[in-house]
Amino acid sequence: MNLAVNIGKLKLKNPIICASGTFGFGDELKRLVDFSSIGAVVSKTITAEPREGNIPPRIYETDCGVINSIGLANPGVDSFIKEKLPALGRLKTNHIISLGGFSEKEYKQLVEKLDKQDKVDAFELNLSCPNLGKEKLISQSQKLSSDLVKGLRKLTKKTLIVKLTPEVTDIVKIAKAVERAGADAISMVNTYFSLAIDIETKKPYLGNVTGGYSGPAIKPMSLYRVWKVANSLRIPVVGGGGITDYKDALEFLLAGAAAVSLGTINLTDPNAAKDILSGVKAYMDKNKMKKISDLRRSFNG
Amino acid sequence: MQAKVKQFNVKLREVKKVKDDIFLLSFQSSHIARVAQPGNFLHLKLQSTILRRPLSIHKIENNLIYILFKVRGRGTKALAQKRKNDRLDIIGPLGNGFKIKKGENSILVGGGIGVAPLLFLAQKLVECSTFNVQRSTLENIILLGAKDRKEVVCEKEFKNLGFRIKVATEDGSKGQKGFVTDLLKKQLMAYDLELRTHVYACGPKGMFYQISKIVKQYKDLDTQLSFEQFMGCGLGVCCACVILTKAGYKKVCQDGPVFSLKEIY
Repeated sequence: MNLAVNIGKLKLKNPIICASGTFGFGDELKRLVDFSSIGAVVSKTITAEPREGNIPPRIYETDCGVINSIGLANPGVDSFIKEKLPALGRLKTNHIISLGGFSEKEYKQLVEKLDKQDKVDAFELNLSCPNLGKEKLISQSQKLSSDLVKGLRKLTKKTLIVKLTPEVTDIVKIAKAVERAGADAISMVNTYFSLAIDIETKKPYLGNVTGGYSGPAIKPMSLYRVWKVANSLRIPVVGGGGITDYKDALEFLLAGAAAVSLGTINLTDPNAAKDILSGVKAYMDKNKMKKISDLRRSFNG
Repeated sequence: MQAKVKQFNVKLREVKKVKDDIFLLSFQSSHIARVAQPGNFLHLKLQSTILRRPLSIHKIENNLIYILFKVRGRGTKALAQKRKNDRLDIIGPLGNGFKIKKGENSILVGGGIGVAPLLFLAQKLVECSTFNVQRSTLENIILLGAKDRKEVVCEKEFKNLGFRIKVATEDGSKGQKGFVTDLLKKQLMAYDLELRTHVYACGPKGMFYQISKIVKQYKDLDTQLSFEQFMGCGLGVCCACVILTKAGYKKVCQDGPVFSLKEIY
Protein backbone atom coordinates (compact mmCIF):
# COMPACT_ATOMS: atom_id res chain seq x y z
CA MET A 1 0.00 0.00 0.00
CA ASN A 2 1.29 3.41 -0.93
CA LEU A 3 0.19 6.19 1.39
CA ALA A 4 2.31 8.92 -0.18
CA VAL A 5 0.62 11.96 -1.68
CA ASN A 6 1.88 14.95 -3.64
CA ILE A 7 0.85 18.46 -2.76
CA GLY A 8 2.44 20.57 -5.47
CA LYS A 9 6.14 19.72 -5.43
CA LEU A 10 5.86 18.53 -1.87
CA LYS A 11 5.89 14.77 -1.39
CA LEU A 12 4.27 13.63 1.84
CA LYS A 13 4.81 10.14 3.23
CA ASN A 14 1.14 10.06 4.20
CA PRO A 15 -1.90 12.35 3.84
CA ILE A 16 -2.19 13.41 7.51
CA ILE A 17 -1.35 17.06 8.12
CA CYS A 18 -1.42 18.84 11.49
CA ALA A 19 -3.12 22.19 10.98
CA SER A 20 -1.66 25.58 11.76
CA GLY A 21 -2.07 26.83 15.31
CA THR A 22 -2.69 23.41 16.82
CA PHE A 23 0.82 21.99 16.82
CA GLY A 24 3.12 24.94 17.57
CA PHE A 25 6.14 24.58 15.31
CA GLY A 26 6.19 20.82 15.93
CA ASP A 27 9.37 20.70 17.96
CA GLU A 28 7.57 21.53 21.22
CA LEU A 29 5.77 18.20 21.11
CA LYS A 30 8.67 15.93 20.18
CA ARG A 31 8.73 14.09 23.52
CA LEU A 32 5.07 13.20 23.33
CA VAL A 33 4.38 12.68 19.64
CA ASP A 34 5.35 10.05 17.09
CA PHE A 35 6.13 12.13 14.00
CA SER A 36 6.45 9.09 11.76
CA SER A 37 2.63 9.11 11.46
CA ILE A 38 2.48 12.76 10.44
CA GLY A 39 2.80 13.68 6.76
CA ALA A 40 3.42 17.35 7.52
CA VAL A 41 3.09 19.91 10.29
CA VAL A 42 1.83 23.35 9.37
CA SER A 43 3.49 25.83 11.71
CA LYS A 44 1.76 28.42 13.81
CA THR A 45 1.26 31.41 11.50
CA ILE A 46 4.37 33.58 11.27
CA THR A 47 4.04 37.33 10.79
CA ALA A 48 6.64 39.94 9.81
CA GLU A 49 6.69 41.40 13.34
CA PRO A 50 6.29 39.57 16.67
CA ARG A 51 2.69 39.49 17.94
CA GLU A 52 1.52 39.19 21.53
CA GLY A 53 -1.91 37.98 20.46
CA ASN A 54 -5.41 38.91 21.60
CA ILE A 55 -6.78 39.83 25.02
CA PRO A 56 -7.66 36.71 27.08
CA PRO A 57 -9.82 34.73 27.58
CA ARG A 58 -8.91 33.29 24.18
CA ILE A 59 -10.76 30.01 24.19
CA TYR A 60 -14.29 28.82 24.87
CA GLU A 61 -15.70 25.31 24.62
CA THR A 62 -19.23 24.47 23.47
CA ASP A 63 -20.95 21.07 23.59
CA CYS A 64 -19.47 20.15 20.24
CA GLY A 65 -16.73 22.60 19.32
CA VAL A 66 -14.21 25.20 20.38
CA ILE A 67 -14.17 28.94 19.77
CA ASN A 68 -10.71 30.48 19.77
CA SER A 69 -9.35 33.95 19.41
CA ILE A 70 -5.58 33.64 19.74
CA GLY A 71 -4.80 36.48 17.36
CA LEU A 72 -1.69 35.01 15.67
CA ALA A 73 0.55 35.22 18.74
CA ASN A 74 4.02 34.40 17.36
CA PRO A 75 7.65 35.47 17.73
CA GLY A 76 7.88 37.11 14.29
CA VAL A 77 9.80 35.88 11.25
CA ASP A 78 13.33 36.89 12.30
CA SER A 79 13.13 35.24 15.67
CA PHE A 80 11.44 32.21 14.05
CA ILE A 81 14.38 31.78 11.65
CA LYS A 82 16.94 32.18 14.41
CA GLU A 83 15.35 30.29 17.26
CA LYS A 84 12.75 27.83 15.96
CA LEU A 85 13.78 26.81 12.47
CA PRO A 86 17.09 25.09 13.36
CA ALA A 87 15.28 22.47 15.48
CA LEU A 88 12.71 21.58 12.82
CA GLY A 89 14.93 19.58 10.49
CA ARG A 90 15.38 16.93 13.15
CA LEU A 91 11.76 15.83 13.11
CA LYS A 92 10.77 13.07 10.72
CA THR A 93 8.06 15.04 8.98
CA ASN A 94 7.62 17.86 6.47
CA HIS A 95 7.32 21.45 7.58
CA ILE A 96 4.82 23.75 5.95
CA ILE A 97 5.25 27.29 7.21
CA SER A 98 2.07 29.31 7.61
CA LEU A 99 2.41 32.98 6.71
CA GLY A 100 0.19 35.85 7.81
CA GLY A 101 0.50 39.44 6.63
CA PHE A 102 -1.32 42.72 6.97
CA SER A 103 -0.31 43.92 3.50
CA GLU A 104 1.05 42.49 0.27
CA LYS A 105 4.41 43.95 1.22
CA GLU A 106 4.50 41.94 4.43
CA TYR A 107 3.65 38.69 2.67
CA LYS A 108 6.43 39.39 0.17
CA GLN A 109 8.93 40.06 2.96
CA LEU A 110 7.99 36.77 4.61
CA VAL A 111 8.36 34.74 1.43
CA GLU A 112 11.68 36.40 0.56
CA LYS A 113 13.12 35.72 4.01
CA LEU A 114 11.96 32.11 4.19
CA ASP A 115 12.41 31.02 0.57
CA LYS A 116 16.14 30.43 1.00
CA GLN A 117 15.65 28.28 4.11
CA ASP A 118 15.84 24.61 3.11
CA LYS A 119 14.04 23.45 6.25
CA VAL A 120 10.96 25.18 4.89
CA ASP A 121 9.30 22.55 2.69
CA ALA A 122 6.30 24.62 1.61
CA PHE A 123 4.28 27.74 2.40
CA GLU A 124 0.70 27.96 3.50
CA LEU A 125 -0.70 31.44 3.00
CA ASN A 126 -3.12 32.16 5.81
CA LEU A 127 -5.62 34.43 4.07
CA SER A 128 -8.36 33.51 6.48
CA CYS A 129 -7.59 34.22 10.15
CA PRO A 130 -10.91 35.46 11.65
CA ASN A 131 -9.32 37.01 14.73
CA LEU A 132 -7.57 40.12 13.50
CA GLY A 133 -10.43 42.57 13.85
CA LYS A 134 -10.43 43.26 10.13
CA GLU A 135 -13.59 44.14 8.22
CA LYS A 136 -12.85 41.65 5.51
CA LEU A 137 -10.55 38.65 5.21
CA ILE A 138 -8.28 38.51 2.15
CA SER A 139 -9.83 35.20 1.10
CA GLN A 140 -13.27 36.80 1.12
CA SER A 141 -12.18 38.78 -1.92
CA GLN A 142 -11.48 37.03 -5.20
CA LYS A 143 -9.40 39.95 -6.43
CA LEU A 144 -7.28 40.44 -3.28
CA SER A 145 -6.55 36.70 -3.04
CA SER A 146 -5.74 36.37 -6.69
CA ASP A 147 -3.46 39.45 -6.83
CA LEU A 148 -1.61 38.38 -3.71
CA VAL A 149 -1.00 34.82 -4.94
CA LYS A 150 0.15 36.11 -8.35
CA GLY A 151 2.66 38.41 -6.67
CA LEU A 152 4.03 35.75 -4.35
CA ARG A 153 4.18 33.08 -7.05
CA LYS A 154 6.93 35.09 -8.76
CA LEU A 155 9.05 35.03 -5.57
CA THR A 156 9.23 31.34 -4.83
CA LYS A 157 9.41 27.93 -6.45
CA LYS A 158 8.41 26.24 -3.23
CA THR A 159 4.94 24.79 -2.97
CA LEU A 160 2.33 27.46 -2.28
CA ILE A 161 -0.78 26.32 -0.44
CA VAL A 162 -3.55 28.85 0.12
CA LYS A 163 -5.77 28.54 3.18
CA LEU A 164 -9.31 29.77 2.63
CA THR A 165 -12.12 30.89 4.87
CA PRO A 166 -15.43 29.03 4.54
CA GLU A 167 -17.22 32.34 5.18
CA VAL A 168 -18.01 33.30 1.57
CA THR A 169 -21.01 33.03 -0.75
CA ASP A 170 -19.17 30.98 -3.36
CA ILE A 171 -15.98 29.31 -2.22
CA VAL A 172 -15.49 27.54 -5.57
CA LYS A 173 -15.16 30.91 -7.28
CA ILE A 174 -12.47 32.06 -4.83
CA ALA A 175 -10.64 28.72 -5.05
CA LYS A 176 -10.63 28.81 -8.86
CA ALA A 177 -9.24 32.35 -8.84
CA VAL A 178 -6.46 31.26 -6.50
CA GLU A 179 -5.71 28.26 -8.73
CA ARG A 180 -5.49 30.50 -11.82
CA ALA A 181 -3.17 32.85 -9.89
CA GLY A 182 -0.63 30.03 -9.54
CA ALA A 183 -1.33 28.32 -6.21
CA ASP A 184 -0.19 24.69 -5.96
CA ALA A 185 -2.92 23.65 -3.56
CA ILE A 186 -5.87 24.84 -1.51
CA SER A 187 -6.15 24.25 2.23
CA MET A 188 -9.60 24.47 3.70
CA VAL A 189 -11.33 25.30 5.90
CA ASN A 190 -10.21 27.88 8.39
CA THR A 191 -12.59 28.50 11.32
CA TYR A 192 -16.09 30.01 11.15
CA PHE A 193 -16.92 33.38 12.72
CA SER A 194 -18.60 32.87 16.07
CA LEU A 195 -19.68 34.39 19.37
CA ALA A 196 -20.50 33.16 22.87
CA ILE A 197 -22.11 35.27 25.61
CA ASP A 198 -22.07 34.75 29.37
CA ILE A 199 -25.69 35.37 30.38
CA GLU A 200 -24.71 36.08 34.00
CA THR A 201 -22.31 38.92 33.23
CA LYS A 202 -24.01 39.76 29.91
CA LYS A 203 -20.55 39.98 28.36
CA PRO A 204 -18.90 37.96 25.59
CA TYR A 205 -16.84 35.06 26.91
CA LEU A 206 -13.84 35.93 24.77
CA GLY A 207 -11.66 38.96 25.42
CA ASN A 208 -11.70 39.78 21.74
CA VAL A 209 -15.52 39.37 21.64
CA THR A 210 -15.65 37.09 18.58
CA GLY A 211 -13.65 34.02 17.64
CA GLY A 212 -13.24 31.24 15.12
CA TYR A 213 -15.28 28.04 15.55
CA SER A 214 -13.71 24.63 15.07
CA GLY A 215 -14.14 21.04 16.22
CA PRO A 216 -16.70 18.30 15.47
CA ALA A 217 -19.54 20.84 15.05
CA ILE A 218 -18.11 22.23 11.80
CA LYS A 219 -17.40 18.91 10.09
CA PRO A 220 -20.47 18.54 7.84
CA MET A 221 -20.23 22.15 6.66
CA SER A 222 -16.52 21.82 6.01
CA LEU A 223 -16.92 18.50 4.23
CA TYR A 224 -19.53 20.04 1.92
CA ARG A 225 -17.18 22.86 0.94
CA VAL A 226 -14.20 20.55 0.45
CA TRP A 227 -16.29 18.28 -1.76
CA LYS A 228 -17.46 21.25 -3.86
CA VAL A 229 -13.97 22.68 -4.33
CA ALA A 230 -12.11 19.40 -4.81
CA ASN A 231 -14.44 18.50 -7.65
CA SER A 232 -14.07 21.83 -9.42
CA LEU A 233 -10.28 22.26 -9.36
CA ARG A 234 -7.24 20.57 -10.86
CA ILE A 235 -4.90 21.37 -7.96
CA PRO A 236 -5.08 19.26 -4.79
CA VAL A 237 -7.16 20.23 -1.79
CA VAL A 238 -5.99 19.71 1.79
CA GLY A 239 -9.34 19.17 3.46
CA GLY A 240 -10.38 19.38 7.06
CA GLY A 241 -12.54 21.04 9.65
CA GLY A 242 -13.67 19.05 12.66
CA ILE A 243 -11.88 15.77 11.95
CA THR A 244 -11.85 13.74 15.15
CA ASP A 245 -11.23 10.16 14.08
CA TYR A 246 -10.28 8.03 11.07
CA LYS A 247 -13.87 7.88 9.86
CA ASP A 248 -14.00 11.66 9.57
CA ALA A 249 -10.67 11.61 7.71
CA LEU A 250 -12.02 8.99 5.31
CA GLU A 251 -15.08 11.13 4.56
CA PHE A 252 -12.83 13.99 3.46
CA LEU A 253 -10.65 11.66 1.36
CA LEU A 254 -13.72 10.11 -0.27
CA ALA A 255 -15.10 13.58 -0.97
CA GLY A 256 -11.97 14.37 -2.97
CA ALA A 257 -9.37 15.79 -0.59
CA ALA A 258 -5.80 14.83 -1.51
CA ALA A 259 -4.77 15.06 2.14
CA VAL A 260 -6.51 15.85 5.42
CA SER A 261 -5.72 18.35 8.12
CA LEU A 262 -6.26 17.75 11.82
CA GLY A 263 -6.90 20.79 13.97
CA THR A 264 -8.80 20.91 17.26
CA ILE A 265 -8.33 17.17 17.88
CA ASN A 266 -4.58 17.79 18.23
CA LEU A 267 -5.25 19.90 21.33
CA THR A 268 -6.98 16.98 23.01
CA ASP A 269 -4.90 14.22 21.55
CA PRO A 270 -1.45 15.16 20.31
CA ASN A 271 -1.07 11.64 18.90
CA ALA A 272 -4.39 11.71 17.00
CA ALA A 273 -2.53 11.47 13.66
CA LYS A 274 -1.24 8.03 14.58
CA ASP A 275 -4.68 6.57 15.33
CA ILE A 276 -6.22 8.23 12.30
CA LEU A 277 -3.52 6.97 9.95
CA SER A 278 -3.82 3.41 11.19
CA GLY A 279 -7.61 3.58 10.81
CA VAL A 280 -7.27 4.83 7.23
CA LYS A 281 -4.77 2.07 6.47
CA ALA A 282 -7.03 -0.64 7.87
CA TYR A 283 -9.97 0.67 5.82
CA MET A 284 -7.92 0.74 2.62
CA ASP A 285 -6.70 -2.74 3.31
CA LYS A 286 -10.23 -4.03 3.80
CA ASN A 287 -11.38 -2.30 0.61
CA LYS A 288 -8.36 -3.52 -1.34
CA MET A 289 -7.15 0.00 -2.11
CA LYS A 290 -3.52 0.54 -3.08
CA LYS A 291 -3.15 4.30 -2.94
CA ILE A 292 -4.82 7.30 -1.33
CA SER A 293 -6.41 8.48 -4.57
CA ASP A 294 -8.30 5.17 -4.78
CA LEU A 295 -10.48 6.53 -2.00
CA ARG A 296 -11.55 9.49 -4.07
CA ARG A 297 -12.21 7.30 -7.08
CA SER A 298 -14.40 4.96 -5.07
CA PHE A 299 -16.83 7.66 -3.95
CA ASN A 300 -20.36 7.05 -5.27
CA GLY A 301 -21.52 10.64 -4.97
CA MET B 1 8.00 20.84 27.17
CA GLN B 2 9.75 19.21 30.06
CA ALA B 3 11.33 15.80 29.60
CA LYS B 4 9.22 14.32 32.37
CA VAL B 5 5.89 14.71 30.53
CA LYS B 6 4.20 11.50 29.40
CA GLN B 7 0.83 10.30 28.22
CA PHE B 8 -0.72 7.58 30.39
CA ASN B 9 -3.80 5.47 30.46
CA VAL B 10 -4.43 4.85 34.14
CA LYS B 11 -6.98 2.77 36.03
CA LEU B 12 -8.80 4.68 38.76
CA ARG B 13 -8.33 3.21 42.17
CA GLU B 14 -11.01 5.26 43.82
CA VAL B 15 -13.41 8.15 43.20
CA LYS B 16 -15.07 9.33 46.39
CA LYS B 17 -17.21 12.16 47.57
CA VAL B 18 -15.39 14.13 50.24
CA LYS B 19 -18.13 16.62 51.00
CA ASP B 20 -21.12 17.92 49.08
CA ASP B 21 -19.76 18.66 45.59
CA ILE B 22 -16.08 18.01 46.36
CA PHE B 23 -14.55 14.74 45.15
CA LEU B 24 -11.24 12.92 45.50
CA LEU B 25 -9.89 10.48 42.94
CA SER B 26 -6.73 8.44 42.94
CA PHE B 27 -4.69 6.20 40.68
CA GLN B 28 -1.27 4.64 40.70
CA SER B 29 1.70 6.07 38.82
CA SER B 30 5.27 5.61 39.93
CA HIS B 31 6.47 7.95 37.16
CA ILE B 32 4.32 10.86 38.30
CA ALA B 33 5.15 10.12 41.94
CA ARG B 34 8.86 10.28 41.08
CA VAL B 35 8.96 13.44 38.98
CA ALA B 36 6.00 15.63 39.97
CA GLN B 37 6.53 18.93 41.74
CA PRO B 38 3.88 20.70 43.81
CA GLY B 39 1.83 22.98 41.59
CA ASN B 40 2.14 20.67 38.58
CA PHE B 41 -1.10 19.67 36.90
CA LEU B 42 -2.39 16.71 34.94
CA HIS B 43 -4.39 17.10 31.76
CA LEU B 44 -7.32 14.69 31.82
CA LYS B 45 -9.25 13.50 28.80
CA LEU B 46 -12.97 13.14 29.35
CA GLN B 47 -15.27 11.52 26.81
CA SER B 48 -17.95 14.17 27.22
CA THR B 49 -15.88 17.29 26.59
CA ILE B 50 -13.99 18.41 23.50
CA LEU B 51 -10.90 19.62 25.35
CA ARG B 52 -8.99 18.07 28.21
CA ARG B 53 -9.31 19.46 31.73
CA PRO B 54 -6.29 20.55 33.76
CA LEU B 55 -6.35 19.50 37.42
CA SER B 56 -3.59 19.95 39.94
CA ILE B 57 -1.99 17.14 41.89
CA HIS B 58 -3.51 17.15 45.38
CA LYS B 59 -1.17 14.76 47.13
CA ILE B 60 1.09 11.79 46.49
CA GLU B 61 1.37 8.83 48.84
CA ASN B 62 3.11 5.52 48.06
CA ASN B 63 2.91 6.01 44.27
CA LEU B 64 -0.76 6.91 44.53
CA ILE B 65 -1.66 10.18 42.86
CA TYR B 66 -4.64 12.08 44.25
CA ILE B 67 -6.76 14.75 42.56
CA LEU B 68 -9.19 16.83 44.63
CA PHE B 69 -11.84 18.70 42.69
CA LYS B 70 -15.13 20.52 43.01
CA VAL B 71 -17.94 19.96 40.50
CA ARG B 72 -18.29 23.22 38.64
CA GLY B 73 -18.92 22.54 34.93
CA ARG B 74 -19.24 19.82 32.31
CA GLY B 75 -15.73 18.48 32.83
CA THR B 76 -15.72 18.14 36.60
CA LYS B 77 -19.25 16.72 36.49
CA ALA B 78 -18.09 13.98 34.11
CA LEU B 79 -15.07 13.33 36.29
CA ALA B 80 -17.24 12.94 39.39
CA GLN B 81 -19.23 10.26 37.56
CA LYS B 82 -16.14 8.13 37.01
CA ARG B 83 -15.99 4.93 39.03
CA LYS B 84 -13.33 2.68 40.44
CA ASN B 85 -11.51 0.74 37.68
CA ASP B 86 -12.57 3.21 34.95
CA ARG B 87 -9.70 4.19 32.66
CA LEU B 88 -8.48 7.75 32.33
CA ASP B 89 -6.18 9.19 29.67
CA ILE B 90 -3.74 11.58 31.30
CA ILE B 91 -0.93 13.83 30.07
CA GLY B 92 1.48 15.10 32.69
CA PRO B 93 2.92 16.22 34.94
CA LEU B 94 2.72 19.66 33.34
CA GLY B 95 3.54 23.24 34.17
CA ASN B 96 5.88 25.18 36.37
CA GLY B 97 5.12 24.39 39.99
CA PHE B 98 5.86 26.05 43.32
CA LYS B 99 9.50 26.73 44.10
CA ILE B 100 10.17 25.63 47.64
CA LYS B 101 11.94 28.22 49.77
CA LYS B 102 13.94 26.55 52.49
CA GLY B 103 14.62 28.19 55.82
CA GLU B 104 11.56 30.40 55.80
CA ASN B 105 8.19 30.43 57.48
CA SER B 106 5.58 29.15 55.08
CA ILE B 107 2.12 30.59 54.91
CA LEU B 108 -0.16 28.68 52.58
CA VAL B 109 -3.34 30.44 51.49
CA GLY B 110 -6.14 28.38 49.94
CA GLY B 111 -9.30 29.97 48.61
CA GLY B 112 -12.10 27.44 48.17
CA ILE B 113 -11.04 24.43 46.09
CA GLY B 114 -7.74 26.30 45.58
CA VAL B 115 -6.59 24.28 48.57
CA ALA B 116 -6.13 21.29 46.22
CA PRO B 117 -2.46 21.74 45.18
CA LEU B 118 -1.45 23.10 48.58
CA LEU B 119 -1.53 19.72 50.30
CA PHE B 120 1.08 18.33 47.90
CA LEU B 121 3.09 21.51 48.53
CA ALA B 122 2.74 20.97 52.28
CA GLN B 123 4.03 17.40 51.89
CA LYS B 124 7.11 18.67 50.05
CA LEU B 125 7.70 21.52 52.51
CA VAL B 126 7.71 19.06 55.39
CA GLU B 127 10.02 16.71 53.47
CA CYS B 128 12.47 19.54 52.84
CA SER B 129 12.39 20.98 56.34
CA THR B 130 13.34 17.60 57.77
CA PHE B 131 16.84 18.35 56.52
CA ASN B 132 16.77 21.93 57.65
CA VAL B 133 18.75 22.83 60.78
CA GLN B 134 16.60 25.85 61.48
CA ARG B 135 13.40 23.88 61.60
CA SER B 136 12.74 24.46 65.27
CA THR B 137 12.30 28.18 64.74
CA LEU B 138 10.22 27.90 61.60
CA GLU B 139 6.52 27.67 61.24
CA ASN B 140 4.15 26.18 58.66
CA ILE B 141 0.66 27.64 58.51
CA ILE B 142 -2.30 27.01 56.23
CA LEU B 143 -5.03 29.62 55.95
CA LEU B 144 -8.22 28.15 54.54
CA GLY B 145 -10.91 30.36 53.09
CA ALA B 146 -14.34 29.24 51.96
CA LYS B 147 -17.86 30.43 51.31
CA ASP B 148 -19.22 28.23 54.09
CA ARG B 149 -18.25 25.26 56.27
CA LYS B 150 -19.17 22.78 53.53
CA GLU B 151 -16.31 24.05 51.43
CA VAL B 152 -13.67 23.66 54.14
CA VAL B 153 -11.66 20.50 53.45
CA CYS B 154 -8.32 18.86 54.27
CA GLU B 155 -7.92 20.21 57.83
CA LYS B 156 -6.96 16.80 59.15
CA GLU B 157 -4.36 16.23 56.44
CA PHE B 158 -2.61 19.54 57.10
CA LYS B 159 -2.76 18.91 60.84
CA ASN B 160 -1.08 15.54 60.35
CA LEU B 161 1.75 17.31 58.56
CA GLY B 162 2.23 19.60 61.55
CA PHE B 163 0.63 22.69 60.03
CA ARG B 164 -1.17 25.29 62.08
CA ILE B 165 -4.62 25.80 60.57
CA LYS B 166 -6.79 28.89 60.50
CA VAL B 167 -10.15 29.05 58.81
CA ALA B 168 -12.29 31.90 57.54
CA THR B 169 -15.75 31.50 56.01
CA GLU B 170 -17.75 34.18 54.31
CA ASP B 171 -20.92 33.27 56.21
CA GLY B 172 -19.13 32.64 59.51
CA SER B 173 -20.30 29.00 59.68
CA LYS B 174 -16.76 27.95 60.53
CA GLY B 175 -13.71 29.78 61.88
CA GLN B 176 -13.54 33.51 61.56
CA LYS B 177 -16.28 35.28 59.61
CA GLY B 178 -14.77 37.01 56.62
CA PHE B 179 -12.12 36.37 54.00
CA VAL B 180 -8.96 34.29 54.08
CA THR B 181 -7.04 37.45 53.20
CA ASP B 182 -8.11 38.92 56.59
CA LEU B 183 -6.32 35.97 58.19
CA LEU B 184 -3.23 36.62 56.09
CA LYS B 185 -3.14 40.28 57.09
CA LYS B 186 -3.32 39.35 60.78
CA GLN B 187 -0.73 36.60 60.45
CA LEU B 188 1.81 38.85 58.76
CA MET B 189 1.32 41.54 61.40
CA ALA B 190 1.96 38.98 64.12
CA TYR B 191 5.34 38.06 62.67
CA ASP B 192 8.62 39.66 63.56
CA LEU B 193 9.64 41.16 60.23
CA GLU B 194 13.23 39.98 60.72
CA LEU B 195 11.99 36.48 60.21
CA ARG B 196 11.84 35.43 56.55
CA THR B 197 8.41 34.39 55.41
CA HIS B 198 7.11 32.99 52.15
CA VAL B 199 3.50 32.98 50.98
CA TYR B 200 2.10 30.31 48.63
CA ALA B 201 -1.44 30.78 47.41
CA CYS B 202 -4.05 29.21 45.18
CA GLY B 203 -7.58 30.45 44.72
CA PRO B 204 -9.71 32.89 42.76
CA LYS B 205 -8.21 35.95 41.07
CA GLY B 206 -10.06 38.32 43.45
CA MET B 207 -8.17 36.70 46.33
CA PHE B 208 -4.85 37.18 44.54
CA TYR B 209 -5.60 40.86 44.07
CA GLN B 210 -6.33 41.26 47.80
CA ILE B 211 -3.11 39.39 48.64
CA SER B 212 -1.15 41.70 46.35
CA LYS B 213 -2.45 44.71 48.29
CA ILE B 214 -1.57 43.15 51.65
CA VAL B 215 1.97 42.01 50.80
CA LYS B 216 2.95 45.31 49.18
CA GLN B 217 4.05 46.75 52.50
CA TYR B 218 6.47 43.85 53.19
CA LYS B 219 9.18 44.31 50.64
CA ASP B 220 11.17 41.20 51.57
CA LEU B 221 8.14 38.97 51.40
CA ASP B 222 7.96 36.67 48.41
CA THR B 223 4.66 35.30 47.24
CA GLN B 224 3.87 32.60 44.70
CA LEU B 225 0.42 32.31 43.17
CA SER B 226 -1.03 29.34 41.29
CA PHE B 227 -3.41 30.56 38.57
CA GLU B 228 -6.30 28.87 36.89
CA GLN B 229 -7.25 29.58 33.28
CA PHE B 230 -9.33 27.65 30.79
CA MET B 231 -6.85 25.74 28.61
CA GLY B 232 -6.58 24.39 25.10
CA CYS B 233 -3.69 22.00 24.65
CA GLY B 234 -2.01 22.38 28.05
CA LEU B 235 1.32 21.80 26.30
CA GLY B 236 2.28 25.33 25.36
CA VAL B 237 1.44 25.15 21.66
CA CYS B 238 -2.00 26.75 21.24
CA CYS B 239 -1.38 29.96 23.25
CA ALA B 240 -4.98 30.00 24.53
CA CYS B 241 -4.48 30.10 28.31
CA VAL B 242 -2.42 33.26 28.61
CA ILE B 243 -2.65 35.80 31.41
CA LEU B 244 -1.27 39.31 31.40
CA THR B 245 1.99 39.74 33.30
CA LYS B 246 4.29 42.75 33.58
CA ALA B 247 6.38 41.15 30.82
CA GLY B 248 3.40 40.64 28.50
CA TYR B 249 1.19 37.61 28.02
CA LYS B 250 2.42 34.35 29.54
CA LYS B 251 1.03 30.84 29.16
CA VAL B 252 -0.53 29.50 32.34
CA CYS B 253 0.08 25.91 31.15
CA GLN B 254 3.78 26.30 30.52
CA ASP B 255 5.15 29.48 32.15
CA GLY B 256 2.76 28.86 35.07
CA PRO B 257 0.43 27.87 36.58
CA VAL B 258 2.59 29.19 39.43
CA PHE B 259 3.86 32.74 39.01
CA SER B 260 5.66 35.04 41.41
CA LEU B 261 3.23 37.73 42.59
CA LYS B 262 5.73 40.35 41.49
CA GLU B 263 5.46 39.15 37.89
CA ILE B 264 1.74 39.91 37.84
CA TYR B 265 0.87 42.76 40.25
